[in-house]
Amino acid sequence: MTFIKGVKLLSKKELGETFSSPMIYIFTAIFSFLVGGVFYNNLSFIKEVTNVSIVNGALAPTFSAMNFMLMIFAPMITMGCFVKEKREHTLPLLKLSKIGDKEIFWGKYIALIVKGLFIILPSITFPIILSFSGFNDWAIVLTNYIGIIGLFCCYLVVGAFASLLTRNYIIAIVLTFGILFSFLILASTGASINNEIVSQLLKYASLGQHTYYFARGAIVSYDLVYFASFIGFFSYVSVRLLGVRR
Amino acid sequence: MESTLVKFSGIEKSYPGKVVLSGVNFEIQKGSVHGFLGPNGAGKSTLMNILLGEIENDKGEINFTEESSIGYLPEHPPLYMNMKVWEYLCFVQDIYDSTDRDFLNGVIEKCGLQEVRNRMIGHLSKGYKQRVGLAQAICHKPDLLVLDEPMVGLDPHAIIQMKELISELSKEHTIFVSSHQLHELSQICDQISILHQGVIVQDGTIEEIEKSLNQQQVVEVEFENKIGELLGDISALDDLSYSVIEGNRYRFKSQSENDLRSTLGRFFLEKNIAVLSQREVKMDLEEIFRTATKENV
Repeated sequence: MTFIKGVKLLSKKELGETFSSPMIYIFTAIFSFLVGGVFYNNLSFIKEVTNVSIVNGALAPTFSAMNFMLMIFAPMITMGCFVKEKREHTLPLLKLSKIGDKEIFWGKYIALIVKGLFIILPSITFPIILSFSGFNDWAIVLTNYIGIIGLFCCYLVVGAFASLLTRNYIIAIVLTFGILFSFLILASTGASINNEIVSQLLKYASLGQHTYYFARGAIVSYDLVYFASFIGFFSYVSVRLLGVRR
Repeated sequence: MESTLVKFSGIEKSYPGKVVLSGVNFEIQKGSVHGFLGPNGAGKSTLMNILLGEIENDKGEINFTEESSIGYLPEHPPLYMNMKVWEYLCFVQDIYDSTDRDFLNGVIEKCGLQEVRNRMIGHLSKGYKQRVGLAQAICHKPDLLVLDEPMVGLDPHAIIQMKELISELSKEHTIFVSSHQLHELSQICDQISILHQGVIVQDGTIEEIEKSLNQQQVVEVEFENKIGELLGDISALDDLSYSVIEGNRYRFKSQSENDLRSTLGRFFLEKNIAVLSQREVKMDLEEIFRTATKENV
């Protein structure tokens, strides 16, 4: 069986199950409501302050809040990824089949990304609302979304990895948070180290250091390479972990 | 049972501080229903997982004499509760790279799932879930079917149906089945292997094992009248011992190689003793299991 076929089969199954359950719609509604609240507050704020642009006053803080909320939502979306398979004893079914470990992981991961995009999608209404009042800086909206989605994919891969390590939903959530926060505080750890090279490396490795350019309308290969290597590292470890025989 | 399909040779597996399997040797014959027995903790699941490639053995080999695919029904069937039966079985076929939906329709019919094919698996009874589990194990046309405790937790009616289903499937697949329900197993198995403390203590057909465990012949006889005064004469025959079961029913035992039934028959005829019934007492699987595991403690 080809890689693409295996991934497609598993993603399709995962998405079928996801969209037939109410959870995804509840998550999307809560996320949209929270982001909507932040957006409304920011809009109210710039109405009172005259020297702040829409981008700086409304869009940038909304995307920043979205990023934070996605970090909270990611473990809840990913907790069942492999934990559920283990609890329902379905992992051996997949492992005995002609689908390889790589296909199993990527099939599930791609389904997670699609779920994530579905949750983020309604937030596109906010820049559309702004466009009615003359806002037309779509490039900055696009780069912000690329940055947010890139980071969200990093959160999801960590969540998928964590759910491979345990049979317990709560432990999977705690592990995901633990790993994500560790990567987040690497920048402050780096700042407190005297060695310049180590300090720069830690800053580069930190998840919090890769939204700066996207928020300002630029796409920098530095950040894209970071996302790709972050996802590549965790997916590689996860596939190896899936393949481990006791 | 024409030829060997799987050969286990010297399988060993240890975990820190515990030897689970120490030199397991036996064969599964092609076309047979091979029962796999053992008390809890004997190492049955470990061996099954080694066969399925889930666990790596420390030593030894499992050889398939020909390229074979395996269908597996674990003790807890691997079911996606949010999927419909048909949708789930199609998915299982797909991940095995099989697209023969006509065959799948046949499997659904064989497993008696027509009524529930469009129902959500999570809403089915335990018996139906087990059947869906069995259907997933056979829907990709495996050569070897591995069933781990397929009848556990089922009601008597469902057990009968499952037994019939396994017998039906044995016409097309080699079946390797582990179970604690010895009576049920004895009705469907051609061969059995008994695993105890990490080693195979008995292996073969039920008759062969019975013979190897019990060298003595046992015959139960019911007489029309009391035969008290003749018991002494009977005891003198061929190193024979007896015990009273109840009333005029007696159990005679002999270590002799001569057929005890004919020895007794001749004696009763000579003495003109009226016999109502006479039958050879065989060990059932439960007794075999108890004896085999007790002897090897």
